[in-house]
Amino acid sequence: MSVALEASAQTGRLVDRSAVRDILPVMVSVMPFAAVIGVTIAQTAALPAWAGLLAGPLIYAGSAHLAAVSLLDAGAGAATILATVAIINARLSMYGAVIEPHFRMQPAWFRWLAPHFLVDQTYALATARSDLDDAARFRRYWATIGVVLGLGWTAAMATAVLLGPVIPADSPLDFAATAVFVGLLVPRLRERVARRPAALAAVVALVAAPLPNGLGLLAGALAGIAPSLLTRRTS
Amino acid sequence: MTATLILLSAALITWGLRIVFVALVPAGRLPGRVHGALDDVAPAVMGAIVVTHLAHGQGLAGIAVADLGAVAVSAVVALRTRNLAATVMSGVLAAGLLRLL
Repeated sequence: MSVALEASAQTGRLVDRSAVRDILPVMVSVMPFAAVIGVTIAQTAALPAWAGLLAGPLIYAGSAHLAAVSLLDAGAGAATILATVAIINARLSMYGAVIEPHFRMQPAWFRWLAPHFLVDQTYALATARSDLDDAARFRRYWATIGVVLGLGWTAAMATAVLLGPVIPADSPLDFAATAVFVGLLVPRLRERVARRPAALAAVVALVAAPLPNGLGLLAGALAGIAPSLLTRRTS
Repeated sequence: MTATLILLSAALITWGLRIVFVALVPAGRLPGRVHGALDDVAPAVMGAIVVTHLAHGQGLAGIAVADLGAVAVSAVVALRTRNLAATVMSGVLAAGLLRLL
């Protein structure tokens, strides 16, 4: 098949096969976490199970979802819960700023709706690829990883709500999420410029790990970018 | 009903955070200093996420030696293969084996 014909076939295809290949191991890796959230939902009397499940694809951010459900169960007020969600998910606005050039040439509906799929995993996958400059190609890739991850995420959560704790407490599957980020980070460290932010962020996140509500993660991420923010000249 | 509304509001806030620098204030319009620092966001966030996962909310004391070994195994596989599925599988396998020791 000629390059032109192959490109045409790719454009007409709804699902991006390379995106499916990228997202499947990631999807498997997040399932244990989704199951934990599902079990928490099932055990929360303050919340109808259907509402907790519906919030899965609507919030589409596990840590914040789990925190919100746990705080509801603990009887926390709306302001506390919503502030916690905003703090935990503050990093998503940074991801948006990084990935925005891919959205610049997209139709308005995509610019407003598709960032919904922005999470640690989709952000890391999309920024690791160098073949997404074409607007239609990015749109197909982004929609595929977002939808596939969302389906797997919601299915795992629903299964856990229905069946209770399906993942044994001592299962090594909990390491899968860590391994995903090791797999996405380590190849980037071949470039010297990536080492300082990664190392700084890791050290600060470690020291700040006992902070509540994911603040340690946020503190680490901010510490990693702070030197560039403070020293680079404006262009 | 209140709990449902709170969760819907949480979804709305999260969506707002996602679109703020995509649809409302495109990153191209950010000050140059901020724009330049965006290159560091990916390695910084991923470094922080890996450590946060390992520390289990306790800092250095929360890191298990077995998990550090599993990180080393998955890092080597990631470097040699650049294959995410192989990295995840080797990491989980290593974590399972090392935790048995």
